[in-house]
Amino acid sequence: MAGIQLRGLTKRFGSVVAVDDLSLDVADGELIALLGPSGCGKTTTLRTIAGFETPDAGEIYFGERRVSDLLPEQRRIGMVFQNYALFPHMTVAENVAFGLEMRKTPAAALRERVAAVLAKVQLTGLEKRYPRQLSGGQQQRAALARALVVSPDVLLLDEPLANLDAKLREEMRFYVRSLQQEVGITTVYVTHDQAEAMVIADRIAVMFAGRIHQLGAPADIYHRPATATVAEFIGLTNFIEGKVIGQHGALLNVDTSLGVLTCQGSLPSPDARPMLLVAVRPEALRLSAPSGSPPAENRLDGAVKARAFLGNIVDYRIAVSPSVVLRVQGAPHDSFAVGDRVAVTFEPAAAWSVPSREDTA
Amino acid sequence: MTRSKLAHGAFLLLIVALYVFLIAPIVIVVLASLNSGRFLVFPPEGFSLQWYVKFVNSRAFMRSFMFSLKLAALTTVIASVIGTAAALYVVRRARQSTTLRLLLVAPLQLPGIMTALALLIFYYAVGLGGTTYLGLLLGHVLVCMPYAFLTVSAVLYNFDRSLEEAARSLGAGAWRTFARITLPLIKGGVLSGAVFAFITSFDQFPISLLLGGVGTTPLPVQVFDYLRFSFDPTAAAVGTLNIVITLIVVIVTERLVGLESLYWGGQR
Repeated sequence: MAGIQLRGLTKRFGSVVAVDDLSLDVADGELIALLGPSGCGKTTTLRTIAGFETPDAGEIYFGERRVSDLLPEQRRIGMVFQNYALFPHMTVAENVAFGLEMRKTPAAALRERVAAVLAKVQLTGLEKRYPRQLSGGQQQRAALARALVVSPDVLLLDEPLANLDAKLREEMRFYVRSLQQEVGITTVYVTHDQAEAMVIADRIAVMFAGRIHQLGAPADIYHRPATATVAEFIGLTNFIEGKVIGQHGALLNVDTSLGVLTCQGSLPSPDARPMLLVAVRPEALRLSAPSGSPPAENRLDGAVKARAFLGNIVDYRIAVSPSVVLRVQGAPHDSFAVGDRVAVTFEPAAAWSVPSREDTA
Repeated sequence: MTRSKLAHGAFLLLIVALYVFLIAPIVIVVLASLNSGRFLVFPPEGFSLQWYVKFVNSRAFMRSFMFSLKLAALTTVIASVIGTAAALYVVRRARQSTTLRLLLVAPLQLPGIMTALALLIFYYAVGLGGTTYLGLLLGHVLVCMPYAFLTVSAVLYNFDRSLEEAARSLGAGAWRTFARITLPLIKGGVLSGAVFAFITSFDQFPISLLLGGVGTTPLPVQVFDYLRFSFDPTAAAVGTLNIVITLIVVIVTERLVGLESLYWGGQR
């Protein structure tokens, strides 16, 4: 087992920079999800780690071992592909045995290890089947077994659940996670599905345009997004633009078109523009009937513009000024009708500031 | 109602006519070869296998027959290897290159006799001489290779390359990946191409006519020479043998790989 270090990895396709000076440390036994929209370079990064793409610059280490100049077959990786890439002319057992055969494992040990790994992924009894005779979920598990049986140094997963139906995909998230922890293997997991990344990863690297915008635990990424782009990509976010006018400990006072709001954050550096965005998740906003009491901190008055019942939540659109409409998600029991006057409040700790877009673009 | 029935009938008639047109010559050749009369005529005058016996006993015919078989076998091997390699290169590395693709299939579009003539002139120019075995073999490979190239290309276009990457990730080097993954999955295309190549070489006339020489006379040329002086049903017997060999090759291939594997390339 070994961790993975990427140092200044760069990959260009013609004039397009797919991976842009990317550095990343994956700890031994850690699972990092590369999360981003299609075309952000996450798959190219993974393929470069695997050795299928040659980087234009940068280095890759598995532990102490420098692998950047090695061929894929010399890197001791296990890889699961989006379409599983099971060999259609071989049975499940032959597929799983392939990597061991390449390593010249003696026949008895080979049979034993194939049987053991198939038991681990619950495919015992299906050894003689061909891939096309398996269901999507079974193919997925066969692909995992084939990658893990050779005890690779690192496991690379390229959207491994994307081809499964929604219900199975959700189950498999937990399955892949528990399997990875059981084996304790360093893993890079590529996905465009934020929920998948949240469930499965120790840390998430959010990628846009070949760069990692933020690297952190799922809760950090969600509650303290580094940029507006990250906040927008992970879940829903309301942004209110304003200018910092004061600081009290970890809290900032921001002067916005809706009044002064208080949120978490740090002061923009002196040379940056003082403008920033207050980011609040829809579920952090609370609705109440407007009362006559004097305006409290972080209180905005508005009217319900639209309302959608989604079962576990109610999704409101609240107009708090002629130009600002906030998304608010609440439990179904607080029930406001379209047109109702409401007060929107939120805790300063539940709001976060990010640089305004012009600064991150 | 009657109109569509009429149209249906007319269509059926057309199909039948087409099949008759295609199959009748074969039937006539087979029947003529069993003729007990002394001339190549139809309808036959009685049943006899004497022309087959005459063929087997003719040293010139047997020598040409064996020569053609060996030539076709060697041609098939060389054409398949080159055609497969060319298909791999064009499909994977030079998909945009129309020129390369056109050049590779050019022998199909040129009249055989022109290709043969051009080769003859070329051989003299480079000092290979007119009628050597090497020259004949090269000519055959040239006109047979496009078949291998086309059938293998067809399979490769739908080939999922992540299968090869999976093999590489599991520790197989480039050659082992080709032998264990790529080749087994494209073998339908390779074998279909080999069948076309074999038949094309075995039946080849214009190339053989100009480039074959004394002692290197393939069967079709031998038959042509024979018919110039005698008009007995031996030629029909040779023709029937040709048809039987072609059929055997096709049936064996069909049994081995299934010609349908050409369409789905051995994949899911």
